[in-house]
Amino acid sequence: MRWLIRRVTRQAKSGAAFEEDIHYGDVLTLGRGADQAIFLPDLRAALAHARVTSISGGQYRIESLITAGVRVNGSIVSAITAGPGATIDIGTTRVQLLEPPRDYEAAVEVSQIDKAEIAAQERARAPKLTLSEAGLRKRLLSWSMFFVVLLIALGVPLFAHYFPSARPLTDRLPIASRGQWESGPLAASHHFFGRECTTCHEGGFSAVRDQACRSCHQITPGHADPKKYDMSLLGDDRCAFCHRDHNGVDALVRADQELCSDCHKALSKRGDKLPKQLDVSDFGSDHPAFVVTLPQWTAAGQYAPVRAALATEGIKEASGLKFPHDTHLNEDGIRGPAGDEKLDCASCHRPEAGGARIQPISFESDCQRCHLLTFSVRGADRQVQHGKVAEVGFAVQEFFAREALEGGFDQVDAPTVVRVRRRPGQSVTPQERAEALTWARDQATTTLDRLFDGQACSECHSTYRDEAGAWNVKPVRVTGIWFPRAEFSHRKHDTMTCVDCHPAATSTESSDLLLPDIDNCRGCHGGEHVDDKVPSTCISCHGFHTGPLVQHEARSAADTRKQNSAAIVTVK
Amino acid sequence: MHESIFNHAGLRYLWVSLTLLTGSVVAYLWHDPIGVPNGGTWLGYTLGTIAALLILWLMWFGIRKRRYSSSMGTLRGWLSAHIYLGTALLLIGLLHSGFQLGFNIHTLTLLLMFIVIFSGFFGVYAYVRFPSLMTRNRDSASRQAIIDEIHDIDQNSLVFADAVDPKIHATILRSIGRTRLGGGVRALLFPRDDSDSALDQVREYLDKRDAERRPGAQTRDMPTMFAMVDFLAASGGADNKNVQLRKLMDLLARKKSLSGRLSRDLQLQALMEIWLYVHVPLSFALLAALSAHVVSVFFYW
Repeated sequence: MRWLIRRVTRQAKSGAAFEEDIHYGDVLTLGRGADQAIFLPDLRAALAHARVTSISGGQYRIESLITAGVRVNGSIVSAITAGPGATIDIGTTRVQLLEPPRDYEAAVEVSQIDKAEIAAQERARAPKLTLSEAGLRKRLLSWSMFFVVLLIALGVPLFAHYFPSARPLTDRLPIASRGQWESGPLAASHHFFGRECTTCHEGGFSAVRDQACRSCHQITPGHADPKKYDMSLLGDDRCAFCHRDHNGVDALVRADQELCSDCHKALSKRGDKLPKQLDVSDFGSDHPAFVVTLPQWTAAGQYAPVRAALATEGIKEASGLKFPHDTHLNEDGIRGPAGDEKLDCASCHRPEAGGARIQPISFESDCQRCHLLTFSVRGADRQVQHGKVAEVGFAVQEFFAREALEGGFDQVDAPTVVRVRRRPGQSVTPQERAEALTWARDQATTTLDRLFDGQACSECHSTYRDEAGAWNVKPVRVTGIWFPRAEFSHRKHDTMTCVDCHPAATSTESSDLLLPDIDNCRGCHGGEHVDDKVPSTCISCHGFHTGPLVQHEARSAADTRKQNSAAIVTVK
Repeated sequence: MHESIFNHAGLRYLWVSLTLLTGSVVAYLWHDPIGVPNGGTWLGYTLGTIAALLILWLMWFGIRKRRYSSSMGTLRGWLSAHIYLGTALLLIGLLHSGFQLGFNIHTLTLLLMFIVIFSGFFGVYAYVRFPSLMTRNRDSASRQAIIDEIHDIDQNSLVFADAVDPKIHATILRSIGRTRLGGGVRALLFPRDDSDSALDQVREYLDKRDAERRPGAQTRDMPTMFAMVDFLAASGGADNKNVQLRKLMDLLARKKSLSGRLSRDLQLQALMEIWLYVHVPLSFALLAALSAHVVSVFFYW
């Protein structure tokens, strides 16, 4: 086999100089040994470094004879099959495989690698000694992260805000679109619309407006009557000033004492019309004694309740009723329809269905079992109606008129016509009838006198005769809600007994106010910051939104009702 | 006393930070906000403003350190303040949040801030600890001197190996080809000591030869070295080539020691740099998250 070995002796831009050589043999050997077909005078070459074999199809087989391998086309290999054009680099020598010219079976070109190329190779293979040489780029990484975060956290949510039609798409993104802006969980009651930020937030750097709140909370009243009080004292009175959402499911309604005490700790000094009673800062240490609302009417009949401190000397409830609690709660019992029986509070006082308040006393269900309104032994099961004075008169007169006209009334001092028993259908003369009815009227008058003055009515009521001489009962005015400005629930206090707060067993007069003053409450309750009592803040008992409805458009009938109910003191 | 980044100007920035921290904590404890403590109270806004300004100022350090002509304080002073105020930022950021965390951009901002600051802590540790380790490791040589010496050793080993035997020459050639100084990020940070199997092979060869002189000695499967052993045994073992071989071994041992020191040097250097690849890019991410945080809370106020 004939190998053409072309040695490049000089390389220049103008061209190269060659000298050609012929090698006979199947194998072309490369190395530093003197016996090699191509001699490489370079210590980086082994004595027998590699060999090239011409195989069929103009291909060459290159094999390394040392374990370090040989660099073919720039990469180290131990053996490879390559076609013409492949280069073998050993040290500074380059052997390029050629297409064999005519008369030859194989050909190679041997040249020295260009110095510039060697330098470039060395640079490329130079050790990478630092992270930046190893390809880490801080600047690129930094700006990439900056823009990626900015796009996701700012770009997408802003896009979703300004292009509502895109929201179905953006809201499905795993990055939650505007959801990632949510600073915390909404209040529980706002969850159902909370996904749509613009329900409350207009966007564009404006704070939530009251209008947004009122689109649902139309009938929430204000704090106090702005005609009476200067509401500018409240400072920022936007809804959102107090109601700060996105702070958890139950953090929307303020319960802290400072909500009130900020203004109320020295409220009376802030304006002329502000009563001292409203100066409060802490239930345990700075809260005035309780004030009750007592029902009262003007001479003209106008309802004009008065407010009076519980501690007022000689304070009485002018209910018009006579009711000694002590007698009814007597330890030894009290006479009942079936002998002596022992009563307790629950015998008469029952809570309302909700448990917060106590139902009003009703004569029929609470008194009449013992206090029968009978008036005649002949009709022992007949009672007059309670509460209707005129009806009582009619009932008694009709009873005696019937007795008189039917006859057979067995009483010695009665006229004959009344005493004589008549058959049914037997007529009486007009004279007899007049006589009988006169008797009946006398009987009715006597009975009514007895009922109203001594036997029945006056047991509990004050009775009097009016100008015409008819019996009447003074109106009953029992207080329904003593503390209309505060909320008290009996249900929450059901671990207590009634007498813990209401000294009924020693009360001899119905005009006694059996209500506890603040000291009684303070036995268990303290201000917000106590640790040995029940911490109670202002809104444990008082509401904030108890004033008139804040004026705004289109007040509905329901609004008006609610407003009125907040001001009216219920009188039963 | 030597003035370092820690006690610069009489611990001035430590006191500044402690004052800032004490003020923030006292205000936080004293403050009785509407509802729960959160970023939307006046104290929350105040602490948030302080934290945001601190972040901008801390990031300005990257610009300031490149301004060699700046006369605005020494760079050491800036770094001292950077460290102390950056540490203070941890707590100020937390107090600003009112410890309210969630799956949102606001907590991402806090999280990025934490990662950036804690990576900075590693940086402080590296800058304090590693330079002395590097000095001790280099043993008063420069890095380039070590690299040059390794190259010289490579050249000399080839000369010695050539004088011994082609097989050993090939081994050394392979060893040189395999020697990697530095390398990729992983190689720099976690160098593997595979630099020189040639030394092991030569040493094993000598052990092998000693072992073969002792009856019953264990042999190991080292085909290449068996060849060298065979060669040396054939050549009598005490001639000139054997001396060359021992010189070669000395060279290889020296090279192994040098390349070990070099990779340790490069590793320390890389460790001193790698935290910056967390610190700096994430601080840019933080800047973006902070912008989104501030814009979002006021956009939907």
